[in-house]
Amino acid sequence: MGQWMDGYLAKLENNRQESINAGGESRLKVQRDLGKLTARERIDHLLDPGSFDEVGSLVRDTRPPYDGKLRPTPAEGVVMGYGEVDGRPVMVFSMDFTVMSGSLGDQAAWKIAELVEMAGQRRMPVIGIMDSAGERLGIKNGQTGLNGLSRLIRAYCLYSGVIPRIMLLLGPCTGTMAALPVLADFLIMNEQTGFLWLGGDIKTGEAGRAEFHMEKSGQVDLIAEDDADAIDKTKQLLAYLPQNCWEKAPWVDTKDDPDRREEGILAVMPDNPKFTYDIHEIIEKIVDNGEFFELQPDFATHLVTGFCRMAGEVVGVIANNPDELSGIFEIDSSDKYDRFMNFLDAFSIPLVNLVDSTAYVPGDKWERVGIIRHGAKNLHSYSHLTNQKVTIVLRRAYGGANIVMGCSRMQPDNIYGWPTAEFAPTGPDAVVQAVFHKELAKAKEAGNYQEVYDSYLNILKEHFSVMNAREWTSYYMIQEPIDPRDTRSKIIRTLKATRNKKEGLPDKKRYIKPA
Amino acid sequence: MGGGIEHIERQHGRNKLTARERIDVLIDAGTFNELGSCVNTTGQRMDGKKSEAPCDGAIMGTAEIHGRMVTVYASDFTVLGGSIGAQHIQKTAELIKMSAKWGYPMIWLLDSSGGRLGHQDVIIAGIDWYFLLQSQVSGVIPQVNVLMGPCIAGQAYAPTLCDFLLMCRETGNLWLGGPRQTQAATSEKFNKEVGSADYHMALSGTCDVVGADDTETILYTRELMAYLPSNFREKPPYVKPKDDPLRAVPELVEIVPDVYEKSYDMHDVIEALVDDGVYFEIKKEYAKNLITCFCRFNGESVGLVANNPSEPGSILEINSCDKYYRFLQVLDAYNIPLVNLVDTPPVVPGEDQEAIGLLRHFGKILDVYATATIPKISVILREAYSDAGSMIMGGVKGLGADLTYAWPIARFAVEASTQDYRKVVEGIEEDAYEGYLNRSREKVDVFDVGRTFTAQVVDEIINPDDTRRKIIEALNITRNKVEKLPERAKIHGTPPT
Repeated sequence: MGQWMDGYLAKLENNRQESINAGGESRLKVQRDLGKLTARERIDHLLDPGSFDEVGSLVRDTRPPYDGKLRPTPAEGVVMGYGEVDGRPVMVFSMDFTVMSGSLGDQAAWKIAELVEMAGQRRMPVIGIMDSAGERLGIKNGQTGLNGLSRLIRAYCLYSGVIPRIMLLLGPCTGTMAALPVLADFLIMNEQTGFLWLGGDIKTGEAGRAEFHMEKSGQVDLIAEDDADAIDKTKQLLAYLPQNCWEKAPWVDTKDDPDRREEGILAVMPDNPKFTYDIHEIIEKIVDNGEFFELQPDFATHLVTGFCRMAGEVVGVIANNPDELSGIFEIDSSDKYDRFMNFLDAFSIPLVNLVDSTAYVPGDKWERVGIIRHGAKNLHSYSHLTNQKVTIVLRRAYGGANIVMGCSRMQPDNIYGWPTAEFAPTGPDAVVQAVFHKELAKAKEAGNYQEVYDSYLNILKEHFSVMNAREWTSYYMIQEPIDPRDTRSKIIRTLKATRNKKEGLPDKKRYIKPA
Repeated sequence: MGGGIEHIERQHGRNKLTARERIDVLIDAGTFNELGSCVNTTGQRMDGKKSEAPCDGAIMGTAEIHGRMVTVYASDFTVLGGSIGAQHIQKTAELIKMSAKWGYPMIWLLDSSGGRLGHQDVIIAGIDWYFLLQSQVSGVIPQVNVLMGPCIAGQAYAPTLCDFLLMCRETGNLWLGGPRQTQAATSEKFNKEVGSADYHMALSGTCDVVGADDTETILYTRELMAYLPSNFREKPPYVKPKDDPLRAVPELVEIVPDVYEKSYDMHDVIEALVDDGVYFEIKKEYAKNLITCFCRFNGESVGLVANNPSEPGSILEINSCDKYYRFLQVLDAYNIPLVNLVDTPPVVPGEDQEAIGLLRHFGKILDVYATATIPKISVILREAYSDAGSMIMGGVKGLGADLTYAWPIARFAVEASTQDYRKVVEGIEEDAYEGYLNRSREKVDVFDVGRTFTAQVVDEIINPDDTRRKIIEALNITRNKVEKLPERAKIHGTPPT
């Protein structure tokens, strides 16, 4: 090697050193004192050792700061590149809070935009780690900041449904950039340091925190107790996801018997249909090794969503939970349902629906916020699903819930019912009131109201029972009644039988979905 | 005769037209080609009571509106309350399929008590069949619903799954649970205001247009159809304009104050710009800070979306996002160009909106705007702040705007927000705002952003007088635009909800 090379190698080494030094010793200390890992430590935790290939480490913020004070800006505050998680390729970026409080600069926006495009073109997941006090984007003097941010957001949208997009919020994220974590397919938020906000007034102490966005705004999928926990959860989540929309999610040998008969399942459901039970207990008995990876566990808890495996294949489960609000539907559960079913379909992950719901809630309070269009949104989405889909009706399939959960004409691949299943346009009590109100009024005068009411109710309950669905073409159709203890094996067999099914939709440019 | 003289008189007594009268108002005279007129009911009540039901309460066929073919379905309230029997279901479902196959818009004239409860019939499907078919042909043909009667429970989804819902103030009511049902389920009592046309227009955002009576509502439908193509393969119909494409609009500088703090009504601007001052507003009384309307520029059908500074608030509120989201999907599905008139006040909604998902609603539009391949033309009148909504209005080109013009008084910033996060987030540098975070908040003059093309904020600064001419020119330029998006396995992505 000639002597001339030495100088350049020294420059290279210097760049590496600046990257390690990040925003400087004092800023690194602030980061550690907050209980946070640094941007590079987070990447190290996430990726397989030695698999990280960085791009853009030489980039700096070249603009003079407003106050004339020069600050170090290695990699322009965003560490990013290619790496592997459990041997599977991903693209990753990590905002560096020690560099100008992690604020998004012009060059950083361009870097991330290109990383997203690379991930899209190479058809692999993109994982973002946010820790940023805001934006320092410019539009003056030819500065490209806003242009870069819009390009980033656009790229992020264009690859929606092409590659899985995961975001970790391990610090703040504000301004227009705050749209990115909610555009992501999955958002994991640190309960201590995560903060997500567009920019308006803040009134309470919880505003913008992980719990706020989990329980209220419904924008967070998982809450983590610290950075390491968030990264572990990301790895668990990735195991359920394919690399892109053309590939299958990885199969794992779970060593659980596909034909396992579950006696205990009979004990979960109470005899009286007015009593409740926790759907989690059923799910855990059905899935491989009882492992259920639940999403949004504290948002719209009357609808449970999550990943699991069945005979080693990844499956998405969507289930009413009678234990919470009797398993009703309202606008939050509609939104939760909608997002998840679209994800499953986009990535061809089978959908298993477990139905036990008294349907959408009526009344002024709900009409006012558009409960009808929220239900319509679900019908619209379900009608466009071409992935494998199985519906199991456990008990009450009333009204709109019956339909949005994939019954009858909504064309699930198979629909099974437990013998306890009951299909009705709405609760049988309400149907008696609606259809026989004249007869009931007469009975009231005649003094035999209860007798008449009960006789109509019994007729209807018999009429609505799944064991009475004797016409294949019936509205209240199941294709087969099943023994609850065989639910697991029935689902697994169906998934096997439908593995190569193809379903078409009419040609169109885009659909018009209710809001 | 439908359900007979007595029922027809009762219908008229409620100031409702009959199904056939409604069809006559809707279509060009003499163009109705009825299908399935000899159908009757195949069902009977559970207690054995039999009834007659001409057409099984569903009158349908093909017809023309402004000389263009459409299909029409009208439920006949005089026949068993317009309720849906087995033959009724099959007729309507087949009509949806035929309309989509042939590529004609389908118009529903709805006045029905819903499912024929308590009846036994030749069961082939429930009303869920409509929903599947309506959804699957969503974006294939325009589906328009005119509601002139009650619409309860399951059936309530049918109008909501159409692209447009027009409701009659006097006769239309849309409920998930009607008064009796709701009372049975939750003991709540409410009057007819709940679920009325004005209610769904102003509050729930489910209704697009309100008409005073049946005739007016149906005539609005005729107006609306003039802006829509027959199906997604076609361009919207051209109407030879009377107006001059080169017409200068000097009145605009009178309407729009050059003092940013002063407001004005954007409707006045729209009226001055469009052909003959005629536009057709959608969701007029909902999220009024954002105007969505159809109009024509030099005879071409255009979807116009504009801020309205005379209404308080920013456009980025959840309801305005939903309003825009629906409208923009229609435009992109049916090849109708988008024109944005931008003037966002420097306002960002706060905690009330954040708590119910402001960001994901913002995300919904970002997703549709970014993936819409129609011509997207934007004119910035005064102010454009990205976090107040300008990003989804073509206020910066990177999100996919084709041409962005700005008036000479326009000013820009990345952020309108003035939040100081040092109070709520630990660890932010003390001098961050003085040093770098305020860079995004600096309001920049249009001549500063316009003098570079690397910023990609404006293509050209225009004289306000020329705004109409420039929009028409831009529409001509982008007429044959082709844009290919990255391939994906399914028709949809995974946008926020």
